[in-house]
Amino acid sequence: MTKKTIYLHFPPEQARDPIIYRLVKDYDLVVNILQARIEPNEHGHALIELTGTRNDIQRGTQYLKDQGIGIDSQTQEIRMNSERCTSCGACVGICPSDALVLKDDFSVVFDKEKCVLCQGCILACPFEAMEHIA
Amino acid sequence: MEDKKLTSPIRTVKEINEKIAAGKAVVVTAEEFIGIADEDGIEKAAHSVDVVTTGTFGIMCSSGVMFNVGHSKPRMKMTKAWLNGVLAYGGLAAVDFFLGATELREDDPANKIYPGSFKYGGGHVIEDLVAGRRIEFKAVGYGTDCYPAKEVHGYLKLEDLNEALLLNPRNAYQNYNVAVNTSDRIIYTYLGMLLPKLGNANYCSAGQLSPLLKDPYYKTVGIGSRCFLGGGEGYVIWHGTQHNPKVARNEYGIPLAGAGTLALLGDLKKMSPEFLRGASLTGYGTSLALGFGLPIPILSAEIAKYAAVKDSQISAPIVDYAHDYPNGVARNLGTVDYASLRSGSIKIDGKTVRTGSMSSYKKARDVALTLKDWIAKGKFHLTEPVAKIPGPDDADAPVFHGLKLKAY
Repeated sequence: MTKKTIYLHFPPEQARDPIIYRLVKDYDLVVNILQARIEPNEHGHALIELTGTRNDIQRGTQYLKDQGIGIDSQTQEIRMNSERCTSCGACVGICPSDALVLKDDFSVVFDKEKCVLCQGCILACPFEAMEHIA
Repeated sequence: MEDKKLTSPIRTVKEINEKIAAGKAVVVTAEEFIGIADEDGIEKAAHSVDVVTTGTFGIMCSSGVMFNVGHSKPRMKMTKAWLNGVLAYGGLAAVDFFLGATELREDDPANKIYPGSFKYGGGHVIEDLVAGRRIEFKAVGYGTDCYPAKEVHGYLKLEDLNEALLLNPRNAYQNYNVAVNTSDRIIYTYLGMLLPKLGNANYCSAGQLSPLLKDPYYKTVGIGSRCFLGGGEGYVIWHGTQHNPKVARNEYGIPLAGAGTLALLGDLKKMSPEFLRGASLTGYGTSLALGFGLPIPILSAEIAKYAAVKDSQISAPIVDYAHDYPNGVARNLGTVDYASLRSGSIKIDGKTVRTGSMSSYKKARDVALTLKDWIAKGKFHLTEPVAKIPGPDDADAPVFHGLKLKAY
């Protein structure tokens, strides 16, 4: 079993097919919706985490592409550049999953496993210590 | 303790410097001093400790560098200069300039594409200089009989400048707001990203380590006080802009909102990127983060009492940055102490709100520890101020006010 987090872009007209149902039913994937905003007649987006076999994840993402849904898996990972980090803590209040926390010694630490790739820290960090890995 | 006992002199700065020279001074950080005072009581702690070191590492927009590039051949009256594309002010003598931390590259789209990312500006140029990196330098002038050249273009490094002085017209803010957002959309401020509907709260003071919170009535700090600045040495040269000592204070002398400030000057050539960083505030602009620390000579039990104040005794106002702050509405959503802020979350109107900090407590501690080390090793001596910083009881102390503009 592997996990993959992907970012979906829905064109305005695309909100018809019950994609979550399909991903679960047809591709045997566990779908965790981390963030979503889908409104009728508007561009929508969602951040979802897929858990399944490598093959099922591949087939499931192909299905999404076939539906005309844009998939952005460019950001595979967010990394902390500890040389740049000053441990200020500008990121910890906005991290939604406690991946960034201030430890007892007041250093900011990043737990990659808890990161949901929302990218808020990249915007919040004044020192460019948080980076995308494509 | 009686007032007389509190204020009676224990030692002088001169005596402390003699002990520093002999390697016998007892120096502790403000955090360590809180522990000593808790255990031994103020009076005993005041007698056993000579110097308490403080520190802060935060974003200080009121920062810049005064520098002199030397003369070209033929000579040139440089009126404007760009360092890596960032404009430096040249309305001074021929080759003197001032580069401000918040100046952007001239082609930066700023907030035209909102929120702007502000990747590079004056603060980053200053960091690049300190890190020893090569800077593209371009200057123009209009040409005079004695300064005929009109343009120069090339590369230079910090070592190539005659003087480079870090100048803070304002630094070391004594306490500051805790910023929140009551609106229903995300906002981008100089206190960071604020999520809608009280999604987070950002503070920025180093609290119990912060220099002016440990000497709240400016009894030891003054003009001429030597300090830690950006990893090197600097001096307090005046009270800072917006210095506002008459703000209401609590029983420990701590102002309940932003109050005193200091103007600082130091040699950029002796600073280090460890304690000086360019900063990019999404949607706001560029700035400079700086380490600053003051040594507090424990001259009396009274000074010791203030130096021992802790986070739980220091409170800050919670201010809405979506409406109240931008519109200059004098209101807050309550107050909160720094021990609560550092716990990771606070309560506002019954709602649990996660906290974040714009200044690094870890680096503030590093500043205080470094200064302690310098003093203990005899590398840093204390100075006696040549003039006082105006305090709350001084009749001529400034009172910070808004823009006074007459109709045009």
